Amino acid sequence: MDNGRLFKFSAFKLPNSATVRAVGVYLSGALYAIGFWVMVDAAIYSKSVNASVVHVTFIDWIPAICSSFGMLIVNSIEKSRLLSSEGGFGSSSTTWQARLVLFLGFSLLAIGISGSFLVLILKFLVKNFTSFPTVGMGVSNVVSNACIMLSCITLWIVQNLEDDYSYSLAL
Amino acid sequence: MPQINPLTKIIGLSSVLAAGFLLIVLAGAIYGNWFPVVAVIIFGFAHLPILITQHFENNYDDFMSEAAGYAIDLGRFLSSFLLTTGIAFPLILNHCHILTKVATVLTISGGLLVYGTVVTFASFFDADSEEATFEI
Repeated sequence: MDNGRLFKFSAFKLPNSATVRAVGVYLSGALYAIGFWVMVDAAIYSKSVNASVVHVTFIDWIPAICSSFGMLIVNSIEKSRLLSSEGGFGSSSTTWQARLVLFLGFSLLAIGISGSFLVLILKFLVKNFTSFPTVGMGVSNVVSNACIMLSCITLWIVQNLEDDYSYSLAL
Repeated sequence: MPQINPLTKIIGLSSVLAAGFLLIVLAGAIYGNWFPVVAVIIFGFAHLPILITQHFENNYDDFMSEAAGYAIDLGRFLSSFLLTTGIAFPLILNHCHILTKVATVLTISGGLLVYGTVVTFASFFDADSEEATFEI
């Protein structure tokens, strides 16, 4: 009877988009918090129980700051401006502005994730700090930026879902 | 779900809240280290963004615009961020040798009890005003 069904067995019913949206937003917030606190953890660890000569300085924070700004920019863009190049409310100059700002946001995200690898390699691996409690501060930098990027991707996907939900509420 | 007497609800919730605070104070007092109180403050405020944005949605739902949906998303994001922060904070302190393992476990379980109390309390009194069920 049910034409919109994807699988043969009704046990594999996909959840509706409102639930997916809520879960995705929760997941995104949790991932961002994990990324942020992993970085803070590295800084506190470096200050309190670190026995080696390497310490977390401002340099280590730059990739995380870039990633956070990139996430803020990417998820603040009005998504409908990107696709409507003709007609509607958005003139083509608004579309181009949206694309440019979005490009800036994704570049900041890419700078963040590659910068964290750069810090790990240049500050820890090249100088032969490869035993674990020390190199953990560099690894946590990579983990932090990867978590922030995953959080951004989750939020982006979830916001771009086709929502029949809001239409059904509006009617 | 059977109808529970509101007085029973309130007494039950307050005892759960008291158990949560007991665990937190225990975690602080055994080792003389009062960082767990910070964690329980975070846990206590973790549900607040959802409540605020739901209030916005309920008051401005005559034009169910996209902005209301974005506000709800922002509230969920912040709330989830705060809850994860509350769980991560004792773990970080444990990793940095500020809290012991027992104090960490006590803090997280007490904080989750407090958070659960706040969420249940909010959903009880939402369910009284309208017929909305508890949704995630």
